[in-house]
Amino acid sequence: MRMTAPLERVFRVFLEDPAALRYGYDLMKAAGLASGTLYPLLARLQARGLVVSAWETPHQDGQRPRRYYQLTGEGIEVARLELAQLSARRRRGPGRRVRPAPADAR
Amino acid sequence: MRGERCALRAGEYLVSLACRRLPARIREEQYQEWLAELPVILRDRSTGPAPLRVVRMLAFAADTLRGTALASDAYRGAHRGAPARNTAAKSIRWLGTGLLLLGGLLGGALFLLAQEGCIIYQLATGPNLYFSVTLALSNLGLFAASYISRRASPWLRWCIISKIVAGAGLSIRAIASSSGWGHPLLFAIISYCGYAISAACLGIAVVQAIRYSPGSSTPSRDQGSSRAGP
Repeated sequence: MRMTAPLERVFRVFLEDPAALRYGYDLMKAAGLASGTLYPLLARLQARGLVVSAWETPHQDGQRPRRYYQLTGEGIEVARLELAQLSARRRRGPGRRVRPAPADAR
Repeated sequence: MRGERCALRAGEYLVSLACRRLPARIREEQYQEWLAELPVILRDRSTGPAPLRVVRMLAFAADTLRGTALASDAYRGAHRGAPARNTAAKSIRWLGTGLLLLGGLLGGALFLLAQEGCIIYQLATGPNLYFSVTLALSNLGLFAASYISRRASPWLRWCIISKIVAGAGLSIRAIASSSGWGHPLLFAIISYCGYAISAACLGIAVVQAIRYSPGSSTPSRDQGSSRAGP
């Protein structure tokens, strides 16, 4: 999977607390991504088995259940490895290919 | 919140449009997921006042349309683990999208040219109140759109703001000259200044777009954007 700026942001948000369950909207806010960017990305990560999703239990007050996402064990490893490689590439020289995530997205 | 149900309905409609592009096996699930997020965005007080939350909710719903239109491959591969295949239908869809984008760009360019021509004519011959008000309002809409998309160059935003000033100046000038109130020259100067700033910003935005476009030998857009901005 090609490391893009949105993917980097999503990985960073997930790795803040790998055990946490993340809703799509929360991920959007934390990563500073639009829905049209985030959801296709999550679908790709799911297809590769890096992320799993599940539905929360229905609420008593009639509120619709939301779907949450979590990194898999493999996803955590891949995310850490990709981010480490990215940092190493950035340290090596100015020929960077990916825009760094903004400070508020970390 | 007043109008919440109406806003939610509009959001649901946009999401349903987006879901029509999805493969049947994930359509319903995706629809339910996005639908569940809409009221959450609408009630998320941390993001600002109610009108802003409505705009954010509608932007969320509208952007799902973009996502399903431009990244439908991602959803086709989802839950299946298989990469999408290249088909003739896919090529035709891309061709259609390309033509649509080209048409939009040409239409936008023509609209801007016509607008510039009308402003120059109004500045030279004297303002027309209806045109000036329409100009200010349409630029207000453009500014809101550029703010929502977050992709517009800061120079382009300044250009739009100064055009709003030019439009407002022209409108007040028209009212002042017809009612005999104030000094029309003052408002004429305001509108001239607004338009001069607008023209300068537009020029800088065009130069930046050419200079930092992908493929040029100068630094990339990402590196340039940090330096850009008034």
